[in-house]
Amino acid sequence: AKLVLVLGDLHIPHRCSGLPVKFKKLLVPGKIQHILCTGNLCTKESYDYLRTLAGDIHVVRGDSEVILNYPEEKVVTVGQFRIGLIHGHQVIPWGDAASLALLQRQLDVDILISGHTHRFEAFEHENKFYINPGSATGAYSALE
Amino acid sequence: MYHSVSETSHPLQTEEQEIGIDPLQSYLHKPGEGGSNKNGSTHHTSDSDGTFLSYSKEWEELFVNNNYLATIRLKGINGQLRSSRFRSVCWKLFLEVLPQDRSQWIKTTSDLRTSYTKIKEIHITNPRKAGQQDLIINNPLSQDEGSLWNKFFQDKELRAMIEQDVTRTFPEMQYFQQENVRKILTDVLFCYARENEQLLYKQGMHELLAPIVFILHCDHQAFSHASEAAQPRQAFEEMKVLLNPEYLEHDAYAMFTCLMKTAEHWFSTFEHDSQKEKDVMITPMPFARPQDLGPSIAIVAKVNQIQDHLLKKHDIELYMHLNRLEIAPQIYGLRWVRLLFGREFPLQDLLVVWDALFADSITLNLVDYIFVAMLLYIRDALISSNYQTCLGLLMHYPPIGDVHSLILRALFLRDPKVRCWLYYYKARGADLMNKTRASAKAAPLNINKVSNSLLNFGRKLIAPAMASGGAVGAPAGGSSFPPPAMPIRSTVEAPQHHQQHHHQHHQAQQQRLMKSESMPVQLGKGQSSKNISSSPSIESLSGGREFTGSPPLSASKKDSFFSTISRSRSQSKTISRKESEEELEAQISFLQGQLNDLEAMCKYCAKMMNTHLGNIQEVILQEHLEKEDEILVSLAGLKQIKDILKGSLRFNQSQLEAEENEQITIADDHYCSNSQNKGTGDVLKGPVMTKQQFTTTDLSTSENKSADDYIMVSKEEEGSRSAVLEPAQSLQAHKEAPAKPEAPSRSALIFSDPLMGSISPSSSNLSSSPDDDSSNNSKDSDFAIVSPLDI
Repeated sequence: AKLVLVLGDLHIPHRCSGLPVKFKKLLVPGKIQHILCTGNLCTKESYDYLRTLAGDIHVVRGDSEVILNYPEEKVVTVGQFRIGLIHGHQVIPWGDAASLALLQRQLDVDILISGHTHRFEAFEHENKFYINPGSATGAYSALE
Repeated sequence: MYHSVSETSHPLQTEEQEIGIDPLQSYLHKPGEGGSNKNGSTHHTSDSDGTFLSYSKEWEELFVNNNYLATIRLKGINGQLRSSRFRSVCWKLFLEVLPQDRSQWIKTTSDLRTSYTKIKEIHITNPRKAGQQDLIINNPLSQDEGSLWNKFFQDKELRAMIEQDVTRTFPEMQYFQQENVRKILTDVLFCYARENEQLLYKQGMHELLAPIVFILHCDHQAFSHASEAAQPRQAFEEMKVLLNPEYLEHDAYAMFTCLMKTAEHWFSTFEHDSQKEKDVMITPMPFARPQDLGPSIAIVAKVNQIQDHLLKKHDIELYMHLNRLEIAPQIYGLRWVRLLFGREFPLQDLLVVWDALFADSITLNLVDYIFVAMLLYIRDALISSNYQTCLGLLMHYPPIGDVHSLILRALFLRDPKVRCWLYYYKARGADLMNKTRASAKAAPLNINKVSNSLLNFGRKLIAPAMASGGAVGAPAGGSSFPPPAMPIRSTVEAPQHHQQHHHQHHQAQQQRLMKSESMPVQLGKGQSSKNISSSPSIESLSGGREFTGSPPLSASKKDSFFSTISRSRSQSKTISRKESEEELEAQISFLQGQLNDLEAMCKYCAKMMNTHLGNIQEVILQEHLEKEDEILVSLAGLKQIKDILKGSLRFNQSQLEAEENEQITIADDHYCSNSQNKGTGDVLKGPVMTKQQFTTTDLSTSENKSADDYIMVSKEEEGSRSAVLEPAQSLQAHKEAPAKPEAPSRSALIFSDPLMGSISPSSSNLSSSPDDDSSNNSKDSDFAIVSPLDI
């Protein structure tokens, strides 16, 4: 079985100092095969840290990034699934299921991962799966 | 044929039938039992009823009688289960998966099966379907011991390791490439590993499991084939339960677990060293063998014990050879034992070996002896090879024609007293026939030249005394290589199993003794054993045999002999006893002739050597060279060789091994007190001695030797060197005679004790005083002669 880590919106160091300790303890290098990050890591240090956890890391660009050369959206294939990755500030209204469905059709993916709302979600809609990992650090969000 | 042999009560026959398994017994049973079994199994009829009939008949024969367990054990040891369709049931019985009580079979089987299902449930779990477990503990990243996910990942690692091995199981067999079979293997091994956490999974277990799965599968096939034409009978229900293909995995697990009960300590890497910390500081023993260094693990200790004790006991030459090459037994032995020879034999042969192993005992005690038997099978090739070739042979064991002979040999090695030695010889005949075929193709063996020539020499010396008659009609001094010797030797041995078993026994004893003992001793023994043997014609033959000494005569004898041999080979099984007796006698007479030829050759060589050595010695001593001593030491060595040829010096096989033996060491009891040989030696030296005899008229010449000794010494002192000298005395005497005349002569004589045997002290005393006298006399005579002249 392959383990895929989905996280995002860390906002380190601007809004939080780091990942929660308990969670960090679970992140043992080598256990996880892929990392999909929705963006807003905000610094290179966070990116490097994630790099140490797994070999295959995919990051998309968020709205408050320091490093600007990530793509806006990405499609990766893990196993038999096409997974779409996007930060979510592009999808208006933010977090709306119908708009996300539009994007899903556009990207033609089985699973769509988006963030930005800092709210955890995982639901099935019209036979497709939508994941929102929320904020890994629990950072402040304008939406609250 | 075997009936008749076994029923003879020979007066000198040794052991009675021992309790336990006597392979002979199977042949004392009605042959119908074994025959019908074979008939049943090879009975391919279009009549479907017939198939099932034969099938159920086989079942009944195997299991429906009073002492069925002993019966099938016998069959297992004799390799009669090779084509049995109930092999898995037999193995279950051997491994104690099924109890002896037949009525309990169904119950026990279903119990074991359910227990396996439970085990599987416990260990092979899907963490997603775990139910309501607390997510804090049970999440995929959890390292917590209680987390199912954690267990899942650990299982995953273990499974990966097992699968790696399973994929490589029996790659040559299509059956093991199937996915479902591989899954079965993996699951069973995984469950076993989880049930035995202290051992987990070790590489090699898969090779033990695979044949079990295979025979279960074969039996299921046979059963389904037979039950296609099902006629419900009594035994049918039992068979149906036992051979249910759905439960292949469960049965395999049960059998494997039982097998591992014995085999597990071979896989354990638990180190028995209690002083590990201390050992780190202490340096290991200097010149330690590679197998003695390192921690003591059970399996390593076991293979070392096999090599150091068992092999040493049965074949010291091979043992020393392997030691010298520093081939640690764990290099090849670990694989042999752990896999129960799984990679050494093709599958069908392997199953026969396992039949015998399991049938013999659940403790797998026969493994040690099969190990030694395998080594002995290739001993000739091993002894004549260097390190690389030896390793090659051991790691890629050459294919054996008849695996059954190997098993018999192993049984024989374990219990030489049980009457299975008859089978041993029958098997050994086949063995050697196979060997000849193998040796014919064995040309590319990398033979170490030095050891080869030594072996030739040794073989030539030993071969004539061997009752099997080597091809040593070769001219004196010629070197005949082993390959021609071996085929001839083997063809002689092939018909030997027809002979009276007692004589055979002695011949075998001789053969065994041949390996490590002296030739002259053997010559003596050969004579005596022939005298003991019962047939009177043989006695007359050996007594009447005269020394011919002409090569053409022996060659003609050889031809006639081989014609008889080839005739007998073609009629091997059906020859009657009388005919074989005649053959026996012909063989013996021929062998006797060869023996005498060789004896004569050796004596002649000794004589000529003697003469020439004497000449050389004379000249050297006259020359008064600077490095005289070294030359004299070498001369003494040559004299030793002469004595070996003559037979007065014992030829020790281990001398071949001690190539670095520069020293000419003579132990006190080194010379054998064989007065017979002494006599002939003295006779030979007669003409040389006569010219010296006249000086010793006053001495009682009861001991010729003693006279020789002191005569020679005194002669030396006189200044005219004698031609014939004994090595020991010469060594001492020559070195010291020029320097100090009197005292060393006395010591030299005293040193000559060993040659005299038991009478030595008195004779030396006797000789010492006359020596003084005569030497004094000679000295006096010298003085007497000189002084008047001077004056």
